[in-house]
Amino acid sequence: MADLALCTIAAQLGVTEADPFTVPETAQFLVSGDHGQAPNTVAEIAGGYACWLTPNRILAVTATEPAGFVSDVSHGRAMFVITLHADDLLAMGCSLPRGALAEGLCAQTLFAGLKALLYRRAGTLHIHVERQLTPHLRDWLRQAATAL
Amino acid sequence: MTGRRLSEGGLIDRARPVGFTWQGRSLSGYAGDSLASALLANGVRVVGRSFKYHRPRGIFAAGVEEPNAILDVTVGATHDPNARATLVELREGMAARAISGWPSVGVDVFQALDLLHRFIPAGFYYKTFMPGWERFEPAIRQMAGLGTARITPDPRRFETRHAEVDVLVVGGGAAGLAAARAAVASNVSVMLVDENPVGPLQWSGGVIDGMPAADWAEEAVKGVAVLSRATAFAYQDHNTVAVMERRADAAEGWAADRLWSVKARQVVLATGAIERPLVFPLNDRPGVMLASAVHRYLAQYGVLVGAEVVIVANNDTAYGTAAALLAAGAKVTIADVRPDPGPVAALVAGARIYPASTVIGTGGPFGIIYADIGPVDATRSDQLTARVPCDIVATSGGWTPSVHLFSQSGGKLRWDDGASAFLPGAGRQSQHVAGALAGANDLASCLMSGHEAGRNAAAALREAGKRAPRLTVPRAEAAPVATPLRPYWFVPIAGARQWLDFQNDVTVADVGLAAAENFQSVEHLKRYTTLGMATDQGKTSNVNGLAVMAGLTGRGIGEAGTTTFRPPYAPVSLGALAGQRHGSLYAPLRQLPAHAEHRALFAEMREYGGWERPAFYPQFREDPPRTIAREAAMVRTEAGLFDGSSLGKIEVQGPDAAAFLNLMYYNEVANLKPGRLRYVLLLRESGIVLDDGVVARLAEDRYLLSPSSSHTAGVLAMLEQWHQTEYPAMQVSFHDVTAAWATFAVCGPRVGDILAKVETDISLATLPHMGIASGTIMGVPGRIARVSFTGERSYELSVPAGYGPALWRHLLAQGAAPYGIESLSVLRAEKGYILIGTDTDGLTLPEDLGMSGPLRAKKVDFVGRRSLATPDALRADRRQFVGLLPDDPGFVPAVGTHAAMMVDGVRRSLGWITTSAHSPATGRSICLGMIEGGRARIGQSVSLFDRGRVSRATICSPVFHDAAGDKLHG
Repeated sequence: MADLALCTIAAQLGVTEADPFTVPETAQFLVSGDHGQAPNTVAEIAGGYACWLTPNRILAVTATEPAGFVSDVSHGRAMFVITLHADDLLAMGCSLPRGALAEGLCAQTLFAGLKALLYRRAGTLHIHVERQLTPHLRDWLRQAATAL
Repeated sequence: MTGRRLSEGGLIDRARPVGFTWQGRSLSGYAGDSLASALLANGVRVVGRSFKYHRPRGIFAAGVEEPNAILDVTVGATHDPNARATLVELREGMAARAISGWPSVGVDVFQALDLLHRFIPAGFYYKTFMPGWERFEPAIRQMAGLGTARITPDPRRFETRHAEVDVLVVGGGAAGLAAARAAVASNVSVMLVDENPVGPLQWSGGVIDGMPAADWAEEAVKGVAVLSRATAFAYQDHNTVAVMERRADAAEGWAADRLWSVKARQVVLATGAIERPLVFPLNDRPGVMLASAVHRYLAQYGVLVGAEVVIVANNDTAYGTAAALLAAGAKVTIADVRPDPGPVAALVAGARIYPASTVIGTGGPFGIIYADIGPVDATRSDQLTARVPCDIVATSGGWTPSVHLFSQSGGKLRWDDGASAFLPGAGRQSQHVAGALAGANDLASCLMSGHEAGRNAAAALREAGKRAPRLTVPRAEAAPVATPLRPYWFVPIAGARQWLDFQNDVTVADVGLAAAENFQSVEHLKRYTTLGMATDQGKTSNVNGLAVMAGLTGRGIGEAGTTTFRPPYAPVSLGALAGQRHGSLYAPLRQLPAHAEHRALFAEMREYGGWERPAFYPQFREDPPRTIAREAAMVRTEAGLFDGSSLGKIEVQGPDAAAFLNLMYYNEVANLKPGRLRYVLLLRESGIVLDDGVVARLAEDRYLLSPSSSHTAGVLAMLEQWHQTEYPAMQVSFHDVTAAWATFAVCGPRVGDILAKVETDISLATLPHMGIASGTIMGVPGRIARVSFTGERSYELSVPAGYGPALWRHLLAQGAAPYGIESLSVLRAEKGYILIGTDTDGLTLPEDLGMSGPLRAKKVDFVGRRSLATPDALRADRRQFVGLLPDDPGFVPAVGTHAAMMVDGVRRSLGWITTSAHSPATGRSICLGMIEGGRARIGQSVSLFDRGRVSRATICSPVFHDAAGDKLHG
């Protein structure tokens, strides 16, 4: 087997993602309450955007801490942004139907065997996973990249 | 003579010779060859031994239906112990071996079994080996033999892909291509999968729409996503089709197999038909082949499999093979079971035709050297009309549509007397059938039905009112008027051995025996005789076997019915099913924020409940028991540092948070003051202890729960379920923030010295035991909780996970000694603290653990309460949590060791040890366990049974160290 560590996902997939356990650059908040957002959508909010999680919960990706019952999970969720081969990776990593990830929509599903939040933004694919699982996802992406 | 390569013809690349070995012998083929075609071109006849009788067998078919040529094939790192030679593309350096035959496939000592065939008919082992099967099984398996998988790890990586299309066309023959062409014209997405490297129109010849069929085929798939070398092997619900792609261009280190899961809005099945053989005496000799296979080896690979060929047929299609053989210079004799073959005979001028005849016998030691031709109603083997010298008998008994996928999809089959085959009946999914599968029997009708199916699939997707684009039906020259097929199932010569299923060695006589013994249902027939089992799945034998059974029992074939077709249609590699999830990606493991720091300390990392955590931190040349003893002692005498980041953290908020949690937990939590913690149990409705942990009240309307590491997801799910289904009106929400925080426990007598060097605005002096406070730690937001799982004074420092590594390094630098989970387990055992799932099991109630106080004190209802009042819960002889001290202080009994005692004159087990350790604090071995009526037996002696060793121990309190808790509160 080719040495996975030698595969650079940054170059092959255009992945930007901080090292697993450093201080994150993007603030993320779990917000509970009546949000009024349509299911599986991404909405623009003050200072960023919000992904629908459940009928009464959103994930706010924003520099401004929202009001209400809010938990700061910036350190708990890693965000991968993928600029290349996004469609191939989706086909390899999950069984989402086409159209479930149109711009403005988000989906929670198993990606690469991990619970993940997926959406497209400005032509890039965003993948949020639990930060503790980042090493696994990086290994998976490295392996996937060598197959492309 | 045997097979040879012609000087021209076929789709092989003669400029690119390919070297390979067969049984260690170097041979050569060409790029474009299959392993089977290369073996035939090199004159190889015997490629295996039959399953039961060890009779020599040769290549029989050219595609997925091959029953005999199952070979052990190695190419570089790739090894397939059971490869179908007809599906394997020849590669440079390929090494192929037979999987049966000892000492060799040519000379097999087990062929002696064939002489005993009268004594080992179908089902003989059910009768013979009933008692002591386990003694016979290894030898029988060894003799029956399939390939042997290697036990070394497979170095390759595999891949899974999902795809979604409007129309999936299965099959790349004329019908499939016409369907894809018609569908794609409607501007829908179309995927076409075909199991061959090149489609059949590339070599079959013919003219379509005025151009060579091969050129038309390339035109037809413009705009279609084509997967060649791809076998659709399973058709599941929601029009999901599983496809195994064998990639010729797999990157280095990657397996050729790629598994596709294709979800299609419409499916067109154009899976074609498989030729079925005519059955005649001694029809299993190497050299007996399907007529269509003989044609394909000639047309696709330029291999003439024999110079003198006898064709035995009951239909017109074999005459195409005969014509091609004649053109290639072979001598051809035809035995046709029909009284008059009709106009098709004009195709084979130069061939001798015996009408109303069949083959009634064959001869030759390792392959055919002659065939006896006789009348179809021959009842004795000496009624031959002619003995014809030959090296090949090509057989054609009609065509069996490949209904496997249609049947898997839930579709019903119907018997069609005209086609003498089971054809698709009513379907259950959004699907269309076309071509030979639907009963079409020439090129023109295949094109027509494919075109219709493709148009219908697209029409089903079209918006109402929108018109279909204009597209003409592809046209081919009409075939001459066909003489109908004449069903003919076997030769009525009594006692002759006539094979139905080559892979499983099932003969007409075996079916007769099954019928005589009343195994007449097709399902019984299959199990009793093994007809149509294993990797072959009856592709060439199914209909013949059913017809024989139907005839013997006086039923029509449709009435006899067919067995269920189950996936996979063709064998699938296990690696491909696993996909990327093998090796390091087999199971996702969570890593701690300070993972790198633990590795830098040479921690032994192990998996605990899905987390990779330090078990202990061995120093140079230190064995694990010594390391654990050292770490545990350090905590008791100095100060220890433990990474508890994996402990669950669920934030609960809302005006009803207190009331809701009080309904959940066994303990009272509503009266908890903000800034205080409480140790709690969570029960199932059955009263069984589900989890323990700590609940902290951060504010009036905000709690922080700390379930155990591996139960966090389960606890969160339970809270959500009760909230959503039972108490939806309560205003409360739950956030799992486990991953967001790093938590480190600092404990031991010197904890004050360590924390004095940690910059924080939280006053440790005023923080009571079971207290929690928020503030800043080393300049970042954090929390400190005073809570202990070791019995020592202990503080848990939590900071956002990203700051975890820095805080860990800082605490380490202040002199705290790191300790791992195994050491923690010793420390908590010394204090008698339980570990859920280790000391408890699926029967443990709180009272069994000695925690009955909360039940008496709590006024409101909670989950599991009623179950604590059942007679079973109140039994005095329930197993209770106690300590045990072995009489030999140096002996640590294994977990699971039973403790026995004489009770009413009988010695019996009272329970078992759940935790055992060498305790540094007490200088001896200690145990925790669950013992019947244990608390009343404190002071009594029990016998321990540990893997054959019997010793004694005394039941005692589970707290072995600092029972008063002075260290905790001091």
